[in-house]
Amino acid sequence: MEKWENSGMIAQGMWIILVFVFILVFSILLLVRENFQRITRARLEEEKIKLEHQQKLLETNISVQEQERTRIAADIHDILIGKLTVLKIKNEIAYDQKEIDELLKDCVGVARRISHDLSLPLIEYKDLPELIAELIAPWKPVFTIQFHKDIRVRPTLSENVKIQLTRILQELITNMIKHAQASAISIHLRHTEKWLFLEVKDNGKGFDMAQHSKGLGLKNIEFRMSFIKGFYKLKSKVGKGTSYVFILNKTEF
Amino acid sequence: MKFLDLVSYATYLSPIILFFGVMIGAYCFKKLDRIGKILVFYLLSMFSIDILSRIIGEVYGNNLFFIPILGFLELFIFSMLYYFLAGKEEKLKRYSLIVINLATLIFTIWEIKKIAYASLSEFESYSKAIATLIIVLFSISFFLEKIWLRKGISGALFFLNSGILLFYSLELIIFLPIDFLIHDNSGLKFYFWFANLIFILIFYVFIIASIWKNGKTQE
Repeated sequence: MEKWENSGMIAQGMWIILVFVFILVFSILLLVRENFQRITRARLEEEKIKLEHQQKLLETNISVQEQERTRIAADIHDILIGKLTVLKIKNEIAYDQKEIDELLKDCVGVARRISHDLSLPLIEYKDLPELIAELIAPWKPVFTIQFHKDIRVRPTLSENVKIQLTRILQELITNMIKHAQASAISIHLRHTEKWLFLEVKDNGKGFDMAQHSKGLGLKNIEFRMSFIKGFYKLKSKVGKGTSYVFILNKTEF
Repeated sequence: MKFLDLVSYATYLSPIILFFGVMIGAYCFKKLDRIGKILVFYLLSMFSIDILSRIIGEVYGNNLFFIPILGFLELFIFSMLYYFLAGKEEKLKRYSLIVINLATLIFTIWEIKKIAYASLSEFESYSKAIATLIIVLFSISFFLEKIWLRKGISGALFFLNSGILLFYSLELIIFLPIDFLIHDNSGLKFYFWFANLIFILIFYVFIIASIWKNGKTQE
């Protein structure tokens, strides 16, 4: 019998292996534990950042709401009340039926615009392409606006999605005209069974994405997209315009 | 008292602890989740095997064929545990667990037939070591999968899987040289059987504690 084959040697070897395996497995478990703790810490950090981001978006939404109220109040005060005051004075000093009719028509127009700004009319009966067409109609005489649609399914978007996308487009058009000084806007809407894409491009002055921080308008767009659980991408270069892509999965229609 | 007597008496601790474990499991069975219920089933199976093997040993003087049965039963129960932990979407993993169990079952049956016709001096069994090795691999793959997918796990599940990994790694070392543990004449083998008994008792207490905590958590 070889020396290593006797019971004492086998027993000694087994003890050594047992202790070794115990230490090895224990060390591995400590490492695994550390790894799980790291994963948990990273997750908590991620959650914290997400929460802070949501908080910021919420704050932005509140300030945008405040701004919108101020703008509507200004519209009512400066335009509607101004026109009604003129109407009153005209009525008092010189009654001219034709002029009064014109002023009343203007007042009704302003009131309708304010009302439409506050709530999109007949939204439940209109589909998204119709809403977009209505939204861009007033800008068509002033800017080159192209609207391409590629609808491959029966449009069954929820009211919420239609409202948010229309509001986003409204905000974008205002930004493109006010800040980007664009003269041409192109809108592409594609609705397939699984996805909804909305692409909006302008030929404005663009901006450097690395230096430009998100303004109130962009944050508001982000808030609206997160509200309908969609995602968006923005591309811009100085002098080469800006493009936005909004994507929604069918589960969020 | 000789060391052999101490080992013999100490083996009675195993059914006592298992009995208490089964009682605790029965007490909080309704409050337990699926994992907790599997652990109760494990204790009950171990208790049955313990009692049966003692009776058979007393009557026939040889209960060694329980070793492969024990190995397969442990593998089956822990496969069930990892099967439910895998989730419905991990179909490949679930199917692999079923295939592994079937293959081990065939091997165990073949080995039991072989042991049944062999004398004590010809005893040779590998299925317990194989089953133990598979459980160790399940346990490691469970941890690795969670780490790779960067999924966290609950503290209770981490400790349960750690306990399984540690216990079955040591069991594997004990059962690999089973020839030595059965045929050694020097008496040294009893130190290993005693060490194995200590590991088993600690593991049973650990399982009972897990069941108790599981019941408390689900309350």
